[in-house]
Amino acid sequence: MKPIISKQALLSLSLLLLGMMLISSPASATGPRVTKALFAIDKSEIHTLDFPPYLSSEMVDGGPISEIVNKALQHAGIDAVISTHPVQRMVKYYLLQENALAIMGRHLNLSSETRKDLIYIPVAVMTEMFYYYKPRYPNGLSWSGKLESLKGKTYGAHKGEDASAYQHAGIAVKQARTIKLLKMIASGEVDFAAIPPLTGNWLLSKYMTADKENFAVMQRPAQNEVFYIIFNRKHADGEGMAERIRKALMKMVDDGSYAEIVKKHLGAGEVINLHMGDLKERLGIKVK
Amino acid sequence: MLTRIMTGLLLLMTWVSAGLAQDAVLSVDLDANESSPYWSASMPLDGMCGEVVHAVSEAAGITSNIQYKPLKRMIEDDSNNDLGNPEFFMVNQEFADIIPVCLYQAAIFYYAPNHKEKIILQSIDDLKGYRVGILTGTLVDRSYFESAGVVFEESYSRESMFKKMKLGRIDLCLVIDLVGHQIINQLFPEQHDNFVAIQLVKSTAPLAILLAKDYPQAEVIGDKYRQGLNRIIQNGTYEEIMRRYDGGAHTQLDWLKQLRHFERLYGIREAGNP
Repeated sequence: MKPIISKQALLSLSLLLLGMMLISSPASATGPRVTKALFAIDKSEIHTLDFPPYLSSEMVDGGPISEIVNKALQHAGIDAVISTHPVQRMVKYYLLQENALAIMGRHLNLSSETRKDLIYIPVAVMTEMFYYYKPRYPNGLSWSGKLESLKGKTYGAHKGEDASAYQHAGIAVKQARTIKLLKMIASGEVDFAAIPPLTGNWLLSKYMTADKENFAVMQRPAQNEVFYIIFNRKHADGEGMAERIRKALMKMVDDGSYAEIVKKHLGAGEVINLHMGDLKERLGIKVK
Repeated sequence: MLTRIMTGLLLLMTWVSAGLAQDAVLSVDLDANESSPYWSASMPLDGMCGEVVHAVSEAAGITSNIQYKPLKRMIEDDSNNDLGNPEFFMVNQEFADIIPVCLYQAAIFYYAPNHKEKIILQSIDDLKGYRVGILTGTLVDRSYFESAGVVFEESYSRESMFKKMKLGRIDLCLVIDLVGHQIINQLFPEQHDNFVAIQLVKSTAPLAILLAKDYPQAEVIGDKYRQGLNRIIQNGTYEEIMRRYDGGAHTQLDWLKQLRHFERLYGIREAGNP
């Protein structure tokens, strides 16, 4: 868990978030949202959890991950649409009960038996930060880069997240969804949680506006999490499409179109690296 | 002896009061957003879905009190019971039970006298060449539609979209099916048959009763609502209510199959809280 984020990058993130709050035009909830999926008769679907601002029907073009995957699908000649859902369980329902072509996400906690039928293709590598509540820690809360420095505290893990490293370090673990984790931090049920900063701040601005200023992030980044598109071998087209999408994403990283989309949604500079990390190396591994 | 009599009386009283409590009519507060004809304070029995909820409640021995609130407030409140599309509320709130009771669908309308031929929409390509009216703020996949050559015109009100369409300033309107029919009946009652609706099958979504995680007896109430819904489906009451509002359009939805699909999809009780 070495630090990979500079102060300059954190400043960029903060400015970016402020900019997004000012210019984003979220879709209204009172009319039918005009998505590609609305016209997708007899097309394969890729199911995913709503993950603002990266992937959400409230964002223009569904957010950067949605646009990247849609472009990759187009390059790969795959006629499929992305459907977003509010909870992880619904994404799993489509995979396990309705044999969907693919799902997308992180912290999916699928059984080893289920994983044998799945092909994981990385789409983004996201830097997460530890959030905590300033009124509980008026002098701030920090960590040394070793989890043991947070021993005795309670960590808020995402449902499905592997939190064994925290438990081994003597940290208690409670699980919930991201928005619930933020509420648990405020109520003192947990002390801290690892969340991508743009997501954390987006949720705080939308659902916890009055309390937003009471949240802070520890200066040192928490961890890197890979966001995957996961193809289903049980679907007739799953295996072939997985390799095609891997190649399409690889090409987009190489020719700069991937970075262009990130830039369009999140801005330029170091922010791009914060959402790509070692993606190129990860994409270099062929589908088996 | 006296002790035994007293104990017996006490047990009898406990049993009777437990029985009474079981049979007592449960009263449940539910929040809804004014969205005629689905939920509306100004319509008899709270509109189409309101009427279904009241029929379900009656069959279940529950009194449901529907209170109208702004949608934003309903979404932000994470401890209330909601009526509506579960996707709006699940992001910010955990629920003990979700019971889908109705379905709705979007449709693309056109005004037939402005078009020489019948419009057929089977894919996005079929939208090319038309100006499509949508509500401001609802366009998500903007780049995709632009690259597909689809032209949208955004409006702040559904009524103005239909007026523009009749005047030929736009060709198509994308709105919720029954809402579109209601607007046509209000604005152009004599012209109703000149407006054609093309259903968007993939837009089908549920409207549900959502019971807050910490609501007292939420699981008991959820079971009762579910039993009540099954009762009114079996005895034909559900079908009768739907037909009165949509003239039978719901039958094209394969509605029972769809309703069961959404029951499984939102089946929190079987899967544990998401």
